[in-house]
Amino acid sequence: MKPRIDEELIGQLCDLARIRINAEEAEVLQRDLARLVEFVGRLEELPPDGIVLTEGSAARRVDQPGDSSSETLLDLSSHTDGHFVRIPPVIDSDD
Amino acid sequence: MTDAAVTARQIRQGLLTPEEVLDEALQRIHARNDLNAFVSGEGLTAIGKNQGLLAGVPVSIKDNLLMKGALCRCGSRALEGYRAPYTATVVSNILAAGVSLVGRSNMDEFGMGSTTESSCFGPTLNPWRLGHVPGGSSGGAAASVAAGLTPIAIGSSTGGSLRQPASYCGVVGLKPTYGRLSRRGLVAYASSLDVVGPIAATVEDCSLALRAMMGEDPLDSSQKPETDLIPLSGPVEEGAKDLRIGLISDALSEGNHPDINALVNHSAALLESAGAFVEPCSLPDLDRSLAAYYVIATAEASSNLARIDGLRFGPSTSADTLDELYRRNRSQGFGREVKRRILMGTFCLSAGYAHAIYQRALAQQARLQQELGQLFERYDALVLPTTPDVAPPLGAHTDPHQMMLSDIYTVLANLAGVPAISIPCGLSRGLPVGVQLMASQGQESLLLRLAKTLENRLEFPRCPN
Repeated sequence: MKPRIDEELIGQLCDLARIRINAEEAEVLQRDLARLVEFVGRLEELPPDGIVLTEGSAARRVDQPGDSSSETLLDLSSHTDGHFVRIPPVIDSDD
Repeated sequence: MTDAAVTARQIRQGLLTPEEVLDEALQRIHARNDLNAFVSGEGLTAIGKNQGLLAGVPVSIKDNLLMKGALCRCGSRALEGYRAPYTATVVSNILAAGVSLVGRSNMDEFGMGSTTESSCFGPTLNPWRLGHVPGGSSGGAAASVAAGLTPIAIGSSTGGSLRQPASYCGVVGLKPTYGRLSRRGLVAYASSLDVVGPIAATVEDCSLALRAMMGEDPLDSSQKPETDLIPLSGPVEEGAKDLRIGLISDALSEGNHPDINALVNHSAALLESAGAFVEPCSLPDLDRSLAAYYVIATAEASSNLARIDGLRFGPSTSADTLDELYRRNRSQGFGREVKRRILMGTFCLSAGYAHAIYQRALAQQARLQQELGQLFERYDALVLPTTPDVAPPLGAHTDPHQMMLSDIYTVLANLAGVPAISIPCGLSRGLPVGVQLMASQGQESLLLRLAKTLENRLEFPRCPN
């Protein structure tokens, strides 16, 4: 599948990544992305068999850019406690 | 500058003190401020010990390795003022081995680049020719070792960031097996590819640095148990007798400068004269591997750097909504190359394209690992160039596609998780050229042995200061 690299797509990606770029950067990026996509297009010659994306998939939904409501975040979290997301400690207090 | 092995021995024998050696190193660094090899701001120094594998040896760490309480910027405005809450395991390990810390080396922003021009601290210059880049992303590390400021610098590699700058600066760069060294405290770029590793003036010093950094870390789940890896101990012995070496003919392409191909062929001939069996072999998927690397690396980068939003890390502005605050902080904090790679990675993970691009990149990675595995059934090690050409002039790589191509021979080892080393093998137009040796997982001692064999036969000159 050859994606169309246009202003709309660049805008969508910026929304997803929460990055703002100016018109000049957007133009350069559009060109760069088109070249990079053409380059990585060589991968399409390969059958994607044998590799399965992890459960819950790394793929992001592009139809809901910037949706960071509490309900959505809680819904996406594997461990919750009431209205909070439960996260295991990663650093000991005496470290 | 004296080699680390000699300095450590003299300190252990009481002929020198760590204070004297550190003071001399700091003077050398101050005298070569023009290179911009070290990041500015608060200094990071620690006096070493008079005992240990690297007793009193001055060592720098890359600006993406954490040291508790010290600033860590990863060459980015986005981490201005960030102080590390803990010390990277490899840094703790080298401190336990007795090193003196002299500072933080300059790097491409978050490791994204091949020239060290994308650092918020400005570009590092190549000590061999100041108008040229030192490579990247560990460009400050390689330039400082080449200029004789420190014998060892600790860097990191995601797609070639140790070997490529080592090649451009005429020093030794070792990318260890994925999982050989702890990644805890290394700021992540692409976690499945990132490794910490040494850049040094000699193969022996590279080996010492690797051994000093080793040690099991229960806090890094990606680290392999030491029992699964070939142990490293004692000085590096040279010798290539009866070893089977594959010379990757696909990497000696017409796209390389002819000097590169000639010098790599010469290195292979030297290994043959040392008793190795050398024959050409093929790895036809080089181009596709580079494409796979850029998809996987940017996809992981877009995910890893999502946490840099100005709230927990770096400076923050103000905005009416949380979403707007994130946008402002990220847009002002990240440089152009980082934004480009994050957006590319976001694209690769977007619904609709993840299957077409990301999943195929993973398939290509698996295929490459399989092909390399088959080659390592026939050969003990592989030889190929480190880069297609010597260090380009500053500002020459305005086209990101061109910059990508300079990584074509180094991404293989990162994608496959195998160790690889670059050692200087000659000069082309007055600039250093590196030859790369690659072996199967855990075979660093074999690589160091072969590298030492070449080093002894090549008599590569030190950088004229």
